[in-house]
Amino acid sequence: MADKYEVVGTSVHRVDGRGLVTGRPVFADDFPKPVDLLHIALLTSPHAHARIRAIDTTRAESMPGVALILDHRNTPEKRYTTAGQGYPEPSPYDARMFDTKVRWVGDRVAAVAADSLLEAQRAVEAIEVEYEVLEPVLTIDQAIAEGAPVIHDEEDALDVWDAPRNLAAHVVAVAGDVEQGFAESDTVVEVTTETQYGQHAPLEPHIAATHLDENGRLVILTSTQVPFHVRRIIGMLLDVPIHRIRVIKPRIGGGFGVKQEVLIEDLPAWVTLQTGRPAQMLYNREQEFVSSRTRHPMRVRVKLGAKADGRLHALQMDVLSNTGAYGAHSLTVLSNAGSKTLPLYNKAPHVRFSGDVVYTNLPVAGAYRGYGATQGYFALETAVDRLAADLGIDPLEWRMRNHIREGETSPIFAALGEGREGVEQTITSCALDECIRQGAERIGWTERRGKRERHGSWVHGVGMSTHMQGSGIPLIDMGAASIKMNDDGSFNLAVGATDLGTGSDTILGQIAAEVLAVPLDKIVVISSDTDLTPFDVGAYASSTTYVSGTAVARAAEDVRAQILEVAGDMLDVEPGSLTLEDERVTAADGTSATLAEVGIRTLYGTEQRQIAAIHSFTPELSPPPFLAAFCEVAVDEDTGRVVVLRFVAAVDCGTPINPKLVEGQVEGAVANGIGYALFEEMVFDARGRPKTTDYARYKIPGPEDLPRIETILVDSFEPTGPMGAKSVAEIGINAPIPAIANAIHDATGIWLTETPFTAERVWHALRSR
Amino acid sequence: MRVGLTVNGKSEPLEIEPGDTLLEALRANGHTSVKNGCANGDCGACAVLLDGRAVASCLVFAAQAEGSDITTIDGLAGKDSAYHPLQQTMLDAGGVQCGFCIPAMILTAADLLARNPEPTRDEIGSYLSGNLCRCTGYVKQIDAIEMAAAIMREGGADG
Amino acid sequence: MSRPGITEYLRPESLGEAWRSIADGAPTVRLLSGGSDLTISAPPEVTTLVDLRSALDSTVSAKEDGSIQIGAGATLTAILEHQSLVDHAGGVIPEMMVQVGSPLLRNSATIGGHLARGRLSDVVPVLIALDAEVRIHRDGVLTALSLSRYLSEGHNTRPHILTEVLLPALPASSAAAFHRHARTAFDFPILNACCRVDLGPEGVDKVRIVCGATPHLALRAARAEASVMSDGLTPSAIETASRLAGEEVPTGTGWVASAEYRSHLVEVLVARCLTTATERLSR
Repeated sequence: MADKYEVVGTSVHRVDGRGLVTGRPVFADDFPKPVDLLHIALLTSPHAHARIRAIDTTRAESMPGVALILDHRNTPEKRYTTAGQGYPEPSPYDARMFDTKVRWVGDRVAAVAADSLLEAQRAVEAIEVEYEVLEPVLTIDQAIAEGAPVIHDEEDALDVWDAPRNLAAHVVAVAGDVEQGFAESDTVVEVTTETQYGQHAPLEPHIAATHLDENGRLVILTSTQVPFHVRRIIGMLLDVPIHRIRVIKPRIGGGFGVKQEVLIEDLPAWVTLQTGRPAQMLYNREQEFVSSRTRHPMRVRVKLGAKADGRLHALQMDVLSNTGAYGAHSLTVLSNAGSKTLPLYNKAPHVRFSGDVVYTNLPVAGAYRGYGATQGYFALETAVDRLAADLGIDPLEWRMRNHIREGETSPIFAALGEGREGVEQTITSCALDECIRQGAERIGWTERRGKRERHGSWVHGVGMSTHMQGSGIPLIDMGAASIKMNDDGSFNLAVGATDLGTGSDTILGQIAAEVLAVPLDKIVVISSDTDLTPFDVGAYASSTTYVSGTAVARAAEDVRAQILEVAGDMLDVEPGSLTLEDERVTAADGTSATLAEVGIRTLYGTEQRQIAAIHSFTPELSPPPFLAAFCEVAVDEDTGRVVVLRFVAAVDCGTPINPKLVEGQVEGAVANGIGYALFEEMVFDARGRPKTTDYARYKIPGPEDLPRIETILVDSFEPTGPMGAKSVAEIGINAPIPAIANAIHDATGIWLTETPFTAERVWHALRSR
Repeated sequence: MRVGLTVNGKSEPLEIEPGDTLLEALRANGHTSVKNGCANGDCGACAVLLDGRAVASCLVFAAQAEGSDITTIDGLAGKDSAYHPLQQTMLDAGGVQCGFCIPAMILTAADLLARNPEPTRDEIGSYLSGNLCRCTGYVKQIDAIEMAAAIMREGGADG
Repeated sequence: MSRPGITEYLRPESLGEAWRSIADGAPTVRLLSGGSDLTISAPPEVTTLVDLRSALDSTVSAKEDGSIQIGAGATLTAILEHQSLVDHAGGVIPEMMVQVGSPLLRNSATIGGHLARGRLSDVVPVLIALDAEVRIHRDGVLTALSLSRYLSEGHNTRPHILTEVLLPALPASSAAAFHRHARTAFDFPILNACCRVDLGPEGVDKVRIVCGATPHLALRAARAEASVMSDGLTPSAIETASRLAGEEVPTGTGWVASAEYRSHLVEVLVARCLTTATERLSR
């Protein structure tokens, strides 16, 4: 299948690789700083829940270097959401730039802009604040308890589901009648799982730098996944017309969802607008852990009902999600917990999904790779293993019999969208069977399952899980691409799409190169500049390859047609009889013109024109990638330590545009998922103060903590995708928790329902066997 | 205070505060390839070679580095600014995603290979235990270092 | 992070000169060795750094009598890699050291700076098990004392300069082993243990069972040691000794582990250390 393409399907070097391996200054904090740059330091709340009774900045204002101090008295009061989503954002407008109430330890109180960071920090320390400390709400159960303190008692918040009950969002989606379904089932299994607070911990923290250009336009250089949403939301918040704002994304040091947020741009932007001076806000590592965004902790209950032959008959998922102090992404992450999981087992006619999102006085949860599916799959895929055990069926066989297939649909697709009704769809490509077969063979499923091989105090086990995700948000996401031709037969490709290290610049370039029959280095990729590139929603929802890629393919086809038209004139033949290959247009009689010759003619010769095209794409479908994960663990029964010896991820992402980049996405997602399954945990004290504020306390996996993750790219082709591609960025992160949990069960007989699977937690579970 | 650093073979006298870390001094002097990922000694993104050994530059005061040879990624490439084998293989193997951890990881790997020209994957993982990467899962980075080690053993190295 | 309060950086050429800058015990003056401590946790009142690089010995040398002298300025990497330490007591030093922090940390952190901190250390239990001594300089006087006493009597909290660590010679039949428990490979320890056994003609001549990161300061499990002295190192004697260690070593509950689990780890890790040390003795 890879043979039909020249550039697509090859692991060419990423287009930005040279600058990265040579350490060129390409990240936001690397660019030369203007001499009058203002640095911003933040005063954040020491209390989890409090009203700000008074702020006195007089002493701070008179300190050396201080240019401006911001707090709720001198900044916009309007409510908005920081969530980097399309307009109208499906998240509550419950945030203010600076509020009169603080809702978590780390919430904004004030900010100081000064000539140096040190002077700004010193002035922050001189700000005096009088708080009326309120009782904090620190758990899901406290939040929904009768008489709980109300976290969002402001009168002007919008789209909060039920503020007096601390509910940010609520969703129900129903097909059939699950009560009837369970009554008719021969076996019913119920599992409740809990996942913890986790943080993306990208190596580059949030950073945004602003200045007014020579025409007085506001320019924002920011480490973001969503430049166009930044432009719109900043414009709305700070009352600046969109056409007076330019947002530029440089190289960024990781996002994983934490930068799908308009988190800090408003601060330097406001400072620049007020003072006329350039400004920069750079989070330190503690702020990145405490005052940015996290994954939503969730309690998920899954109930499965099956007939004796194993066929799933009823499927129910109920979710309680903790969104922390503000509701960004609360509704959509909740919806995804069901929409990206339940359709996987579409055989059940009776399906019910329900969920509530609660506010707590803890760090704000937001977008994080997996986006709710990670939490949902823990409950679902371990419930499946339990059900299979009860039925006496191999869990692999059970999944083979019950998973969705090409040509099939699920009522959940239509019932459960992202904050609104979903979109009906039929699966147009699914190689999950092949993923399961190849993954099982690679891990040695039949040979190793149930064997409980022992090495001293270590016992081994093998587990699996299967997954689907999506490729963009149908009818909502839009990506556009424009291509123009240069004198030398090269092309400039401008895309709004956002490369966060994922390699999207490269794979989008590959798609264009394929259609235009040039090597990749003849495509100059420019991305994520709201002045220079066409619109794109940004990098989230696993959308770039499928959505932006299709826009690129269409623009390239259009340009190709124009080339053939011109070449037809040059060679005096019908364009339809021409072939374009290896940078040359050839007629049936052998005469030809190089792309460079076409370029020169169109720019300088006759009937001059700029060969160019711009196309947009909004998908009607979200064809899911599929993944079958198999892992082998060793459990030290003396200490409870769990080691992942092997992790195999067999993936159907349609055509892999760049196989090494696809593998990199899977490996990185799996690594992150293993960390979340075993080591990572944000911990708070009894007053809601965070304890894990650095990489020393919040442990992300290092090279010795991971096996050599094995990725199998299974042959598949998505007919509606560019060159047959689907997206792949998120799906890998959902596999480790359930695959490891199922493997631990295989090894020891214990079922774990709470992450992370720390040694102490496993040891306790082993003791109560 | 005045401090005389030698960076990539060049003398770089700097005006610093006594309490400045080497990380800050280097970045302020234009060596932006040395990254600030945490400034707490936990992530390794600030690693440089100090007299040939990889250290976290946020854990060293700039004044301590007086009289030492500091190497950043700029000092690693060959004379005709060809890639060092580690830079080449990092691209070939697909070990670069966002790239933020890469200069430090390459320098640390160079330190390893100078001491252990034929490391196993486990030994590579062990020497890189302080270089965190959130993007890759380390698979292709270790692949790259193995590949570079082989090239360098065959005499394909310049640096 | 840069410490803006630091305004003075001294580079004494001798111990005497270094001593003079800290003699009056002012909390504003700190000795700087590797730098990995002060760069990230120097308190705000510190104004003066005293760089000991020229004043301290940083070499490792094996003496004729079999003892090993380690200058306080030696990096943890120098200790990990030094030939005379590689085989000492059956290889326990590199076994431990390769798990301490990360190579980046070990390449700049010094043993003197590390021991002056003392807590949450993987190095301390091993050195105590090996009967390590330290030399400290105070006002021109060099004093030798055991590492145990250096830490338990709080010498590291009063003005002094740690100048060297001395590992006494070991008898021909002596081995030690080290185990730690942490969440990941690069992590501070949740619990660690080191056991060392010397065999004589009549059986166990000397035994050290040391547990650290409990989270208190590392200490010896005296009852467990007495049990090995009397009952030896059979599997059942090892089981008894490790159970005693689990009972007698005080542990504490923190956000990363409970006291109950830590006490359980004491039992497990001591048993593993004793078993490994016994195996090393028979080689």
